[in-house]
Amino acid sequence: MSVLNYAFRRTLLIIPMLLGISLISFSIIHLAPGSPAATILGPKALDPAALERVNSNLGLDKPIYLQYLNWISSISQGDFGVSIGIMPGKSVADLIKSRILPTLELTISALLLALLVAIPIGVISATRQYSTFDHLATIGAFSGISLPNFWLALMLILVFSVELGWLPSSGLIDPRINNPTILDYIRHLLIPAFVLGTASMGGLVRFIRASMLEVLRQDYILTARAKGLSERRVLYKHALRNALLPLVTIIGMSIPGLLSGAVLVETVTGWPGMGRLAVNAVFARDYPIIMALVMIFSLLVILGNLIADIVYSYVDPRIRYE
Amino acid sequence: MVRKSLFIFIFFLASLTGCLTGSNENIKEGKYGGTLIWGSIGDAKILNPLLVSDSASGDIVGLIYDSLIEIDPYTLEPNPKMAKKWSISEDGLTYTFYLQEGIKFHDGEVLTSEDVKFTFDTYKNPNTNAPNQADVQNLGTVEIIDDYTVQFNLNKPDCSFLLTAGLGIIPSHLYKDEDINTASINLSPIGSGPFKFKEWFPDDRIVVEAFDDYYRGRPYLDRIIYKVVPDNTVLTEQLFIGEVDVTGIEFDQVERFKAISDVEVYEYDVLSYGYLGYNLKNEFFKELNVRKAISHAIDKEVIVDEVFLGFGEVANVPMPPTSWAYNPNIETPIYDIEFAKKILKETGFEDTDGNGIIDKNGKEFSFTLMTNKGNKQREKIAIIIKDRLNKIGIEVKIQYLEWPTFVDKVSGKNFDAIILGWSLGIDPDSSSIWHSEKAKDFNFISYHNPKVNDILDKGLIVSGCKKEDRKKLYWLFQEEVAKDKPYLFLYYSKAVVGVNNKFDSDTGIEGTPIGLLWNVDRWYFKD
Repeated sequence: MSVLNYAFRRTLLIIPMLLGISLISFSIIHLAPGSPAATILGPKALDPAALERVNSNLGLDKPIYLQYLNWISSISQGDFGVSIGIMPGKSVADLIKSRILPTLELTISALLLALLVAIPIGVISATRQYSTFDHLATIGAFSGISLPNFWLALMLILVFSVELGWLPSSGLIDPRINNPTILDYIRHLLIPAFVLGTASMGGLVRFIRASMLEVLRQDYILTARAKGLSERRVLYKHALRNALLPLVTIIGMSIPGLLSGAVLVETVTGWPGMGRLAVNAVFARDYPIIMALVMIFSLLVILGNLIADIVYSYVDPRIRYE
Repeated sequence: MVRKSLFIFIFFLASLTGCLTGSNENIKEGKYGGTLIWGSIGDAKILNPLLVSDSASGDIVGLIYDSLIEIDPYTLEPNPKMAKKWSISEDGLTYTFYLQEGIKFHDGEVLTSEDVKFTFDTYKNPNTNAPNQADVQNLGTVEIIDDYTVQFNLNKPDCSFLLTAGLGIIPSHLYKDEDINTASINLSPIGSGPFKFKEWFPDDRIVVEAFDDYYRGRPYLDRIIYKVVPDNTVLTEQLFIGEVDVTGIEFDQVERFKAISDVEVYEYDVLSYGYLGYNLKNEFFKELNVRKAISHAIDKEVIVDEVFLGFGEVANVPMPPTSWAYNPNIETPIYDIEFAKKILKETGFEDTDGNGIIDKNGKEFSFTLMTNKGNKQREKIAIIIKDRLNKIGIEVKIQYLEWPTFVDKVSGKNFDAIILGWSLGIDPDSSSIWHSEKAKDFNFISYHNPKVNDILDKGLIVSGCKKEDRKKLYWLFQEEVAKDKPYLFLYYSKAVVGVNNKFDSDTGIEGTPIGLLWNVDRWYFKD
């Protein structure tokens, strides 16, 4: 009951929090120099009269508190409005919706790839600490962390697309293919997912290694060994399960990141994801899109935290909510 | 679509120029079918000819919408298109266009005078976010004479008006109850051009298909896919391996593409120029001698050679050599640092405190040079200018600003000096840049010369708009501007576009002042 109560109170708090976030971000975005009229008019924006005319057509000459109230009233009815910079007139909800699938496709496959590689390497590194394998894994992990994404992507494209011709070099799907199969989509996904995966792989290897080493020092591992269990059983049944627990938190916390995309990889590989949408919107001063994205990501972060807090009360009996 | 007025080419180049040798006699016969992939670094924004301001949108709009007239790529004269002919009244105030009958929009509706009137009325409406609205500032009313005859009444003569008829005609039956700025048809357009809109995946691709009922005959190609490849290096490689068929080539890649046989490289001049613009309200730059000194301190040859790798020419006047009004008799100031120093000294600038920066009346000659971020060429030019001006004791601080911020500063006249370029229309009128009284929209440098005002006014009202008479005026105009040096004209650059070798066209593929894909409806696959 107390947990339910707590969850209810926390959920109620979301509304004032979102209001606060929206007020602050709305002000900051509108205080930034320039206006979407500069994007709509392109080079012609250098004419002050034209700039003024378009600003007034967009209602941007009204006092900022009025603009905010207008925005709040439409968003409270679930209306994100229309784009005013990058695709004037296009529904913001539609634009964001069209990005969700490609973004999730890319980020989830990158995360899965990273986990698939990182878990075994991390575990072996920990069990054979300071072995040659461990040293190699460490070097590999730090290289993965420090390789610039865009560079790695370019290199892979040069090798696998330009030189060898095995993989397509950009986009969701080759527009020339009439009836694309699953395999066609996967071929397009390989380079971007691999590049994005390597970025988190290194960190994950280090994290799993540390976590595993920590667990291996625990008394219950000693007990398990004392019981005469096989080393295999000790490692995979007793140690690994405990070592992977904190990973759940890490994955949980990465959910907003999964949706917000990765702008550099998306740009180099021509992936129409959320990252490019967000960055283009900012450069174009497309206020409705920027605000919609800020609100969606804020909500995701708040919900993510709330869920983590509630889950903790089940996982860890020491935590009690008053 | 043709634009008569000015256009800075900050984005990718839309209108292109060239010295040509037309070979219209040998018309070939192509075969039907196939898809052309057109690679672009940026996505389109809006597919409405009235609202287009970027080159990507302009590219697509040009495929989907047709206009009353078109520009002859070789003579740069207006030719009939959807209008089979036109007449201009003696006083230059009435333009009558006679439409071809039976032209259909992609939804099957017939295009009539009603659509023409609607297009121009909407264009003129201040509530329309039309970037080039100034084109129709002298247009009074549009009258429908009958279904296929439409008459434009001007408030005063305007020799540049005819080219405004290069505007794409939008369907009134679909737009009349919509807000022009946000109508959904702006994103799924219906025009009367050779290609009809199929689909648009934002930031990925736009697909258009051949329009079977096109009044000039169905295009050979079945489909054109406008593919967005946001990374320049990747885009170049895609042209190399044939994943895209047409796209611009960076100057440093030209040799590599010339060495392979799969891609044909087209180089041509563009109707544009780049310049260093001074804020003439600035206490230093308002002195003609300062501007004169700077003109002798910067070696434009180096800019053309190092930044454009020779794909361009040194500029002297506000008009590119491709224009019929270009005045070839104006000389470039000789690069001579010592002479520049001498002029500055005579003007009272001296390094009194020995810190390497000249000063006058206790103020050091230091200024901020701005340009828009992301334009690699301008960023390099800024560095060259900074270096050269340091040599004559002027301190330059460089600032690269993203476009909306840059616009804020420049349109607010809140700058010292900028590097920018103008893309020009076919008509030489440039009142909006140089006039200080009337059409001063882009005169952010606060240039004022009554004589220039007068010449520009006269240039628009020449009786019968005779080219030879207008040319004399524009030559005079260029002489005046060259004397005043309100800009330091830097370069005329070329465009380089690569096309996969498997394409040809009825009349061949040629880079022209109106682009490379101006006749793409006549492109076909070779066997």
